[in-house]
Amino acid sequence: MAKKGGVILLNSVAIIPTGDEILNGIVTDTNSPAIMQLILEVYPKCEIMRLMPVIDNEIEITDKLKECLSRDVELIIFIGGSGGGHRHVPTLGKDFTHSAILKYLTECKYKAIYGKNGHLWSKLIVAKKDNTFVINVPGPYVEAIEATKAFINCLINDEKDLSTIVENIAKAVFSKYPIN
Amino acid sequence: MNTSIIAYTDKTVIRIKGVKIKGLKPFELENRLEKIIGRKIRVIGVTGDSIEMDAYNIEPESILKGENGIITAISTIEGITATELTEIDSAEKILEVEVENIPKGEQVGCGKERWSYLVK
Repeated sequence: MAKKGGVILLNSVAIIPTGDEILNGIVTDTNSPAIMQLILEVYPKCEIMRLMPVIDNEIEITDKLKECLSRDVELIIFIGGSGGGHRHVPTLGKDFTHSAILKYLTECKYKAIYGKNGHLWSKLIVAKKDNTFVINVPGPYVEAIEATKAFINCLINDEKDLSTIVENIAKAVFSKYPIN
Repeated sequence: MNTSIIAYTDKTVIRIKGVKIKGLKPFELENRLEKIIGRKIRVIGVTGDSIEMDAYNIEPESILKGENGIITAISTIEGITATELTEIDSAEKILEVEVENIPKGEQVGCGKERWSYLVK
């Protein structure tokens, strides 16, 4: 990423929604345009691609990740598939985004949020491959927006440490849960 | 360092079936139900004929007691068509597990993410 006046510039972003229900239009993807807006508010020159949604399949997600990396975009954002619900409730969407990223990329940090019932609610990842950041955000709109805001704030503050970035993202997502 | 955190909050998982769904904007449903129930709601799963949601800090009995109001409310949301078969199929409170079973170590590739199955 280039810098201007000490601030990191973000020039190219790929947004990839995941989920069969998004692909087939049962659920309208409102997250992508909202995330796009957040980025453009800070980086008005940024080129942003919203890619065709990927089905809940680890191989498909990995292939899309490879494709985006080959395009050399500076930031790849996966939306959804960050939990572990489908392993316990068969009707829930399959959550393979985090496992796909962690299997394919080596330079990555994650923070997992579990419910007190032991279920994985969200595994949030920040990864780096050459000049590309890769992050995932939860599917629910509110958490997706908070996670994106937290990441953008890290960019603005020139934060490079993946652990710190993922910590900030997880903190932002966690803040949206009504903790007892 | 990869770490974990536990969200200590009660929630009831609600499943509504018998609906037809196309073009749903989940946050609209969440906002509508939050006004009616007075608790935070998150849509966690949607198929063509069912919706699953988390309702925070509310008992299942309260959800079931307000079933008619909930069904009426969701039927007005764009993207949802209620039918005569629309009902709350289930409303169950999540169960707490022992904190000692908190996962430790790397779990990449592990399909069993429930604490009790994880390597301690």
